[in-house]
Amino acid sequence: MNWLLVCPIVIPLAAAVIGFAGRGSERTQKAVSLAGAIGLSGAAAGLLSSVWRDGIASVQIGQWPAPYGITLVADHLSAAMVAVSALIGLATVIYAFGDTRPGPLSRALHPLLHALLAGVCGAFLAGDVFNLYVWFEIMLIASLALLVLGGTPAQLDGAVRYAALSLIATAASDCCTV
Amino acid sequence: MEPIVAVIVGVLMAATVYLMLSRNFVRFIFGLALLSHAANLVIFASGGMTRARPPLIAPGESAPLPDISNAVPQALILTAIVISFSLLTFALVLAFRTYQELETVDTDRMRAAEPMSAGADAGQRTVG
Repeated sequence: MNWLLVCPIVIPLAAAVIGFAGRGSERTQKAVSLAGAIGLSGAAAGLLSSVWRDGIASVQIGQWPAPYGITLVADHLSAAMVAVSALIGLATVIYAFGDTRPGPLSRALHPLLHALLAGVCGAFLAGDVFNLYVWFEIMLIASLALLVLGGTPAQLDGAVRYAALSLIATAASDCCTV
Repeated sequence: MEPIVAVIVGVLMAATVYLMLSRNFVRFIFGLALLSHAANLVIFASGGMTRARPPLIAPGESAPLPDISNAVPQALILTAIVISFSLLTFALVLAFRTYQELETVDTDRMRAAEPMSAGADAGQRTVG
């Protein structure tokens, strides 16, 4: 079941892209966001049951061997963590329907949330340190954008601290890929 | 070649630490740019640095010739450079927007998210 490993990354990425494209209509965006979150939860549940039944799963994207290609690995821990993040993502999407005031900034919320979920799931499923670094960066850039959504002084002030600390941490993790 | 790169990385890291200890957020961002370059140079040097020997497998051979530089770290830093540029751009825009809203780039005077409590404020006044 190799495609099950790719699903938790592709589904939120697709939801983010379709959500960005459909930001003109709020109803479309909400429907896409909900469908993406439910799809991610289903894929995560499928992955967890597959790993539980058949043991550790791994896939080489495009059949390229390990040092050159991208490896995805799901052991019991990472499958469980993907399931937990998918569940939290679904709960956050449903909560955001009731909590956000409509406006141009709320249109960016759902696509960015799905980009964040794609980064988190990719980081859990990455099979080597460098891909972990790349997925961590995707998660980081989405979380930075979510943090400053709205642009109030308090948000920007907090984002300065968060960005400073996390960018030092990414440079350190970049060095660790050697 | 590697000792020269090691010295360059050391100089870059020294400049990074000097810039990052500044309270000016724009200087901090310049330090961040140098930090990512230093990290990329370390990874670049780890693949080996040899001249004029392409990492290709000759006809009839099963492995590339010895003394080639490894191409994988170079491909890795290509990705890392792109990512660090995107984060640098975001940090610069964040600094500009913060300057517009808070009218300062001094990180000690950015107190919008964590306002000083009355006691801490009074303490600072007596010290100052």
